[in-house]
Amino acid sequence: MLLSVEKITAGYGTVAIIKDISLEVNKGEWVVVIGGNGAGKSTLFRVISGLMKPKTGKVLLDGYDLTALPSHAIVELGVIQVPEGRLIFPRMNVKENLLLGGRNTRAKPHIASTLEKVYHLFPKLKERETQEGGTLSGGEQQMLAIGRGLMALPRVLMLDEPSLGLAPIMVAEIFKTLHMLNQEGMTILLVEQNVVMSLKSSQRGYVIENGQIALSGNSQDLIQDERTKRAYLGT
Amino acid sequence: MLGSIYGLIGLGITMVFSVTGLMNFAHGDFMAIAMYLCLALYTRFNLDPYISMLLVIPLLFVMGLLVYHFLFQRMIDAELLMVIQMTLGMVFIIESTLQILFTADYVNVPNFAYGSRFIMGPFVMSGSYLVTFLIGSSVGVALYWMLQYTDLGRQIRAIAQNREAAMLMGIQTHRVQMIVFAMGIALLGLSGSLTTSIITLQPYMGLDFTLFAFIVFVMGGVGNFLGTLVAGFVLGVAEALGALFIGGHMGGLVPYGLFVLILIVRPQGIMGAR
Amino acid sequence: MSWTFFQEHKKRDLLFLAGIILILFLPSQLSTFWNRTFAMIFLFIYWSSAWNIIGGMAGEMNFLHPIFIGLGAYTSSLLYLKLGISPWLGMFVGGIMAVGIGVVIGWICYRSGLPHLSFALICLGFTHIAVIIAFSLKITGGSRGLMIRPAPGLANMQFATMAGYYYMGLILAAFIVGLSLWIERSKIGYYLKAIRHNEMAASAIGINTVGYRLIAMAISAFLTAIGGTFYAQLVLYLDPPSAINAMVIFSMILFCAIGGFGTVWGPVVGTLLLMPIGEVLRLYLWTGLHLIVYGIVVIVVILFSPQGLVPWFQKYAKKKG
Repeated sequence: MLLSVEKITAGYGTVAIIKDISLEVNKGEWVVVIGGNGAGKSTLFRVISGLMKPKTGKVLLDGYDLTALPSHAIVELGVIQVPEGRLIFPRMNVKENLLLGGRNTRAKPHIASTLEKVYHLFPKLKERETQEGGTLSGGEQQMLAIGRGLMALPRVLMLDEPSLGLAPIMVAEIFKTLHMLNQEGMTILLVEQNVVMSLKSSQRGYVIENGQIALSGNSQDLIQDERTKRAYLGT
Repeated sequence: MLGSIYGLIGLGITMVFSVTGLMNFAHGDFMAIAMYLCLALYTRFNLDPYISMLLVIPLLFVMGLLVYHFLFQRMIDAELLMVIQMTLGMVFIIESTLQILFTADYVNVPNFAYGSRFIMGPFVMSGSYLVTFLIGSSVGVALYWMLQYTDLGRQIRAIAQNREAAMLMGIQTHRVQMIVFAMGIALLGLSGSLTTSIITLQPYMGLDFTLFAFIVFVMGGVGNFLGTLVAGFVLGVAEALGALFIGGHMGGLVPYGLFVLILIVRPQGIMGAR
Repeated sequence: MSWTFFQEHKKRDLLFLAGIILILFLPSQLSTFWNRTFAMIFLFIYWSSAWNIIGGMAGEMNFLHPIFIGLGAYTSSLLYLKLGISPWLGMFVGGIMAVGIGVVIGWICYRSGLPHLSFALICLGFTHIAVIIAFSLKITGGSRGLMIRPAPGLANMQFATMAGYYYMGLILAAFIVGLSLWIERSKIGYYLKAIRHNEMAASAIGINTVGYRLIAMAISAFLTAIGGTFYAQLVLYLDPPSAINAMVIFSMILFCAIGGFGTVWGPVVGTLLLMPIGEVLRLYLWTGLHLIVYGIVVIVVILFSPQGLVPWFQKYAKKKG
């Protein structure tokens, strides 16, 4: 078990957005967390990445407690998030964005070769190397965000709603790329609203509803399960 | 000629604001501290301000670190009104302390005439101004270069553009913010030392500097580093022209008038925001 | 109503009454110095509350007030000196002029949706300009300043003893506290609060943000200018740096901050807490020490109770009750 989240309760002020959430991701697995708007998916990610401290619970990486660590330490350990809305640096060009992704101590020594690999994966980015991030299209920004995440040589790659606002063709592209990465051994934790695509590509999944885990299991089973649809639509 | 200095001071504030979101009204007062330090070093040890500079700058950097750590760090996400108020409190403290320590007298320039006079062709320029301009401009250029091409510079720009994303990149935002703040103050140390020979010192001048720094900051386009340097230069020229053609008290109005005009006509500043 | 309740109420009311009597009869017992000091304190309570209307209730960092004070002081004094018009009338003229300037500047800035910071800077800029103008115009006496000859008499808004100034100051302070209470409870206060917290949201639900900000500005300007006239009559000497003084307004804002922005009693508490100490310090110890104290206090208060003392006290009272 590579990454595990144990009974996390977190929120803002007195309002708890996620309550008692536990999940685990094994090395090389692709795990999906599904839920509607406001279910608490992004909050969960913020806790894991150290942007937010939980009220109770723990986040463990290979048994090592991440919970109290500052966000940069968590990045150093290889838990990398591709955030919701891309959050690329708008006034820096593609190359600078990517370089910023690869600046943590583990990744830095290999930064040049990693950059080559990312360009190989996303040729479009190489084309637009000197273009400012803010001027890219949605799909290109998503590629940039993922590329930036990869530059950090992640042990666990977390993606928060990568399909948001993208055309179906782009979404398929992104998932194809993620599939390829997963085949090569990348551990992926994906949060999505796009139920079908995510369950089709992943091995296991969790369904969040109102800040709690409503269902979990193999993705194939979840797709068939009536409750999945209900939980998702019911939010 | 003082434009380069204005640019530097403004840049200090721009950097601090973009990275921490803090508006420090006491900014100018740190410059005053630097100048009074030079004065003290001069009266005690007969040190030329240009040499004192080497002491004052690191000292102010450390001061910046301390002030940030103990006071500003908690105020990062606080309401702007409150931050301004706290810095105004600092203004009171600093200016009054200076007054108590150095009396409210205006301390005059002649004590520091350490620059020789350069005669370049048809222009007769005071040596101090020339040195100030040269050093000021080169530091400005150096800073700009740092921001664009070094890792620290990239970190700074990253935090300025999107703090959360920067945190997700593994950037230690707290540390960088503290360093940037201290750099802003250290810049004031530089500006202060350079202009000690040029400006008449009095305890309450801090606010005037702050005002000018903010004017440069806003005029250059909030958060736009290059714009700030340019705006500083423009204001410097405006001031010089004003003194030349209008003279006296009214002449001092020119930069302010220019500022008000530009803001009304083009609220984003000369080069546009961010 | 139980007997104990009545007793408690009676106690509180008696204390209140005693307090009022004390305030009213104090002047006759105090020295000239203290009466004058109190007059200044009341003036500052007055000014701080006036600023609070636009600064605290409307949430706008407004530094134009030195101009208003200057306008009020210079206008009424000049009218009096050159044309013999009583300051009682002159103060209204000053007030109207202040409103004029305030509204014009406000209108230009509010309309273009200027961010708060830029607006604050413009205010400081204008204040600076105003000082320079005051220095340059001959009519305002330039750097020599204006002197008003002492001629005690109610018609000239001058009082034979400092007690008179004490009472007038008291009336001004009481008036503005009452006015602030009224504004706070009224529709205007309600809208201003909305604007303060989120201007965009306020305008989105149909509040005329520009209009109400201008109203707040006008009220604040007018009242502040009247305070300027009182100041002129109290001090009997005007010169640009003291009349149009940034430190004064920063002190006012400071008192508001300590007491609590936007609350009615905040400025009062802040001023009463700090100013007496400040005035004593100013006289008996080094000049400027009082400002240091102000600065330290405000920093401490902000670090520990960012909303100010009055809200802190309210929270505390709620916890106990």
